Amino acid sequence: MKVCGPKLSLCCLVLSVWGIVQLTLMGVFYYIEAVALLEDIPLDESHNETTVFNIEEFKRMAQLGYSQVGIESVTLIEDAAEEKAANGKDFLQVTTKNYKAIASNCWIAATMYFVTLLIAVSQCVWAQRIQRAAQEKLEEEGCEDTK
Amino acid sequence: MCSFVAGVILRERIPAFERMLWRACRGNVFLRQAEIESPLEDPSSSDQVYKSVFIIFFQGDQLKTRVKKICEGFRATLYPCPEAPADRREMAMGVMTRIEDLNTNPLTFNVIIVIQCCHITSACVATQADAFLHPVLTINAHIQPLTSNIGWIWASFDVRRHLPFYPAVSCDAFQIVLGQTQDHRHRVLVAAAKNIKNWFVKVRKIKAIYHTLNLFNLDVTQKCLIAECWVPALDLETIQLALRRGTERSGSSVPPILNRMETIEAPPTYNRTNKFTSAFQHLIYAYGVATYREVNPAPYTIITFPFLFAVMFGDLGHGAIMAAFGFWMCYKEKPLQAKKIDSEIWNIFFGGRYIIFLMGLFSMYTGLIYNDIFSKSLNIFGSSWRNNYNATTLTNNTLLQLNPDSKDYTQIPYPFGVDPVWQIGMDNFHYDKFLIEYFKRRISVYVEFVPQIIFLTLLFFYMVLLMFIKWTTYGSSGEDHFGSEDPDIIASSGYCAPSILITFINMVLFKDTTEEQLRLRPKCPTEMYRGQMALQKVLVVIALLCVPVMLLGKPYYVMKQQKKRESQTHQPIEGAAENGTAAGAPVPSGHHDDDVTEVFIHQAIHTIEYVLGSVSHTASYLRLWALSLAHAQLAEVAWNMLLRKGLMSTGYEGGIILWAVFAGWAAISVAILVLMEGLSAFLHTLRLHWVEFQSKFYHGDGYLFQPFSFEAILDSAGQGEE
Repeated sequence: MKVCGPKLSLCCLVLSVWGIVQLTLMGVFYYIEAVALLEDIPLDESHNETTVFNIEEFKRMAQLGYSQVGIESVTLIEDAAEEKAANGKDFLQVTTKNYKAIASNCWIAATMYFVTLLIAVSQCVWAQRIQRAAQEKLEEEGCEDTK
Repeated sequence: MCSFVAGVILRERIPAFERMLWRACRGNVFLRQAEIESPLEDPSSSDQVYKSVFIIFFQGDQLKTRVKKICEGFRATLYPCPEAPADRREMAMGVMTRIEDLNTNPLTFNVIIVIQCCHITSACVATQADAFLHPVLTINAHIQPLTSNIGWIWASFDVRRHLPFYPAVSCDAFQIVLGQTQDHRHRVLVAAAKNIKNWFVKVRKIKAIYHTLNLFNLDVTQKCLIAECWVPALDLETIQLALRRGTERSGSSVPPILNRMETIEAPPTYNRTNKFTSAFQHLIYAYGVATYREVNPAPYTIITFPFLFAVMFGDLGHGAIMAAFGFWMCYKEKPLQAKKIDSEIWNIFFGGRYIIFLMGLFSMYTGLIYNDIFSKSLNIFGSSWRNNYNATTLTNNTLLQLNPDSKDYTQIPYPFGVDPVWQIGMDNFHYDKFLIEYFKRRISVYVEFVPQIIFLTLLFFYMVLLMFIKWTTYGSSGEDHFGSEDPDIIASSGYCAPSILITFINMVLFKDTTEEQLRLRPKCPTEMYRGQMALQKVLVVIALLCVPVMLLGKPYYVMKQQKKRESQTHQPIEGAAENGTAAGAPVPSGHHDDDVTEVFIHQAIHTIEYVLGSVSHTASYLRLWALSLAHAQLAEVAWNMLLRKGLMSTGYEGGIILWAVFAGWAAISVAILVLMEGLSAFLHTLRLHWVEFQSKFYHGDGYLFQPFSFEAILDSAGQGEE
């Protein structure tokens, strides 16, 4: 059953492999960040003078008193950080939820790429089979006359 | 009395035919035509064509010849038509009968008979054909052999008439024979097609051999051919052996003689390369083939090219894609080469597969150093920066600088590459400036001539030295020293580190900035090391002195040479080697004293070019920084604008959206970031090599050594065909 030609199926194959690998890893990283965030930074209610708490505030406040955590989570936090939160605690909770949501998104997408991989593989095999049959047919015709 | 001709012609040609007749015969002929409804089969092309039948009336012989000529020209078929009506009737009856015959019994026509047997001779044909078709068939044509055991002939027979003699044969058998005619013809042609390529190859080879033989000279005795050619000196033994082998194989008694000759012509350049280095060598050749025995920059290029590319491209993710692609091409070299794909773009990529692979690897390395993978940073070792500002300062300032001197920095540099904290920092480019100076210093070592070297070294090498000094002397002081008043500690702290660029500019301008410095940063010393000002002045003076040496050295020497030549009797002075000034081609021995002024002017141009060039080339290396920044920013934009939208989608459809968005992000990454940026970085690296590197010392005046090679000829012929 033909869905796409040989070139398209090869492209999809490569893309699917890449997608599976990268999305799985990204899901894992985002999940780790969520866990780390929750565990390491119990911000208390005291620092809620500001009306808007966003990622900039977080970067600075998070270090107070904790020297292990801080800038490490910078890499991925921009993807997950909440725009506006009421105070530190809210910010952390919502951000953690976001992290987990992103991680599950990544894993769902990885699974879908796995399905795409299966389809692409089947298309590739099918296209190869057709190509081989055409080649054999050509050789047959030529062979007969030289017998 | 009117005579007439009648015939048929293709329908499309009727209007032109009519016009031509009218003009040529001046309106003295009468044409009447009618269209034939059913299409007829064209004998040569076997398509169905529409024809019209016509009849032309005219008077006189001249018109007759003219009309017949025109009909010939338009390829009309003329048919004889009797004048008398009785004759016409008879003819019509005869034609009708024949048509009836054809229609009722379709087995009356020509056939092609393909015969296979062990050996094609007439006897073979006779026996086979007789066995099958006796006595209905009359073969009086020769059998045409196609291969050693297949042949075919045309024959015609009317089966219907002969059927009573051969009742056992059914009509079907003949139908099969005739139906298979088309198939057989097709297969026969396919068999011939297989041999065509070989025939072409043979013809080309023979042509090439004869063409080369034509280049030989004929000896006085008209009995042997003499060829003058260039051979690589190392290969002389191999060539002798090959000549001997050729003599043996051809069975001739006279061996060829190989003699060395002296010549004043410049020999061609021959650089031995293997499949790995040849790609880099071709990059150099594109700029110019090296003059005979000139320094070949290719070995350096093998490393510098990918490295410069990587500095501009540095991203672990994109580098990995490029390296994977290059690796696949190198790994599958043999099968891909055998495929002989025709696309020119593919051939360009495939030819440069080793370059691409190396560029990818180096880009992965610089990606690790820049700490950039698809625009995100990896945090492998734990950042070394801490944030120590207190809360109030933080909330009041939006942009802050982290001072490396204070407790902010744990004094342990990040083990490898750029600290991930730089990802949020705004200052990305100091690191790149250091790299640029490093490059300039390395490049200057490769220039070989003395005043040039002195000039370069004094100025630029010194600048690089300053960089190193700055790195080492102005380290951050330890944690406990923050806020101390000790002048020594302050002097070596990061606070006082001067900007190298400003220092350099002031040095060249002989500007004394002591008071200004004391005013701005009072506690810092005005010099990086003792005696800096004096030393800098000395360096600049010496460098300036080099300029007139470069300017006047060579012309002065040439003048002296000429005077010496005039005072002696004509002794040929071969192109004497210049003393270290900018090299040109050696002066040929026939050169006299007419162009002293020319040499002066030439030299002045060279000097100016060189001096200005060294400054501009240094600045030109800034493109390394510019491109790497552009790449990093593009990658970041791609991530933020594209992938983040997919990541942030909520709910379960978020996964589906991410699936689609990821495909788009991957496509954009490959198309724009890898392909487009890669091409751009490749071009800039090439330009850096050609202009900034090779224009300093490389003349590239030579021509390539291109020996006679069947492969090259067949390759180019094959390409030309397609």
